[in-house]
Amino acid sequence: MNRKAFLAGDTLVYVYSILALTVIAVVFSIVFALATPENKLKELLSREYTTEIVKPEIQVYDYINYYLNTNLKYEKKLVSLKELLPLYCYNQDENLKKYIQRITYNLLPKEIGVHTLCIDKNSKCEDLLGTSDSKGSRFIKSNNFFIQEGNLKNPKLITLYGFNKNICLEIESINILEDNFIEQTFSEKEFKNKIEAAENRVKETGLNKESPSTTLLSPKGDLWFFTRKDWCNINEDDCHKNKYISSEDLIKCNGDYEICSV
Amino acid sequence: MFSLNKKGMLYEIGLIFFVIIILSAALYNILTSQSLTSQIGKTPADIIRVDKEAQLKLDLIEKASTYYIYNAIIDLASNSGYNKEQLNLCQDWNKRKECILTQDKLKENLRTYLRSSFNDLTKQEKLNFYNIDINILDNKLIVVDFNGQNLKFSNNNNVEYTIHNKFRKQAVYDLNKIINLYNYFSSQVSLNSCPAKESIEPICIEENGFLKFELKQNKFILENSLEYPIELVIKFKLKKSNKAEII
Repeated sequence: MNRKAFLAGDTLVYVYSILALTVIAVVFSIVFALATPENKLKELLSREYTTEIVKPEIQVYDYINYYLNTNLKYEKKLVSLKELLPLYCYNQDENLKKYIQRITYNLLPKEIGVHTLCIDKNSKCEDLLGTSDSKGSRFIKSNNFFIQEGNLKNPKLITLYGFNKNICLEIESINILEDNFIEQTFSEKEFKNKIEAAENRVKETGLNKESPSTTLLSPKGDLWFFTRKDWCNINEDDCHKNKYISSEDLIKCNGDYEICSV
Repeated sequence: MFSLNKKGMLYEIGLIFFVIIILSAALYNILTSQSLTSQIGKTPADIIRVDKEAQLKLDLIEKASTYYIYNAIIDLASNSGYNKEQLNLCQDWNKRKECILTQDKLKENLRTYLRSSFNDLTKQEKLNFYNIDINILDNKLIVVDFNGQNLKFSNNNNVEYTIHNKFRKQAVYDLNKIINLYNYFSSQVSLNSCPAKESIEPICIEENGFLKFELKQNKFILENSLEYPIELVIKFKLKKSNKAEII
């Protein structure tokens, strides 16, 4: 390298450069510090980046699928709420409504509100939306029925299409854990194992009525709730009728209410 | 020593302006940009959200298709087996050539009713129309193929994708019941009043020069599961002295 060429000019130019850049750096540091909003400053410094804010919005679809597609026994047939909700809107059967409410109470965590409105086939749920009422429901019509009461803070709106009637479903969109889902079983062996596991869990930790781990769905679509030592059937509302069955007998009948109740 | 009349000072001015411009741009960007945390992972989250919403919507549409098939059967039966255009011409189930009912005609009319109502649903969901094909097996198993092409889903923002959705549904109903009734009443020489109850027993009412018939049938059982409280009724009417209408 040509040393003369590299040091061309005077060192004075470099001295001025450094001085000028120092002044600019000081001025801009002050401007940056004063002008940048505090929250943005914190973000820049802390680097706590997270995607948590969008997680509940995605997760809501998991439990809507779980809620609508879980097969349960109704009038000796295996059906999902995806079929029962349209049927209710068609026949307005009060017993079916109670069944849906009972099942919802057991399938979903208690803090999740589910509000429903039956509408005509050609109506749209969006047409019936207004500002939220005291329960957080956005349906203007007052004849919505609460499958599960609860304040809706950030509800998700789902339209179910039925037989000459459509159903608007408002469901709370909050972050819930998979542990909040009830235990489902699909084989005799799995059912037996989970009965024993539920018994052991209650022995060790005590009975927690709010815990879904004490509710078990048999392969035949019957929902069983575990009390201190016995089980009762939720589909038939036996828990309120004090009709219980021992774990041993429940294993023998494989959780099939038709056989267990003989 | 600190003289400013050096040639290099020309570059000095350029350097200062360059630095000021860069730093000002950085400041402007910080002040006007969105919150950093809301941007991170936003696009993948949007894609997942659109995908999940699409899957749920398609699942519910597929479920609804069963109801629409049975509704189309109800429409067909209550309109004497004709579509709405044919019904104007063949209101009294007469024997004009174009009013003769065949299984092919019933199948095509069923497809017309189903396509019209089902595509109202997809329109409501802002989706493309589905192609619908119907096949009838063993005279009473109605097999319906739904084929939705280029169904668009988006979050009205930065994510949009199109998918194809094909599925098959079955319904059990014997369309020959309508044809048998048609053939039976077509074979009657003349009907001036309600016939005596015979093997075919539709309810008959005389009204304004017409004989109105209604044949109630069993409640629907949807997909071998729920019994629906809907009774399908085959409705048709004949002009009194039907013979005069034969062309």
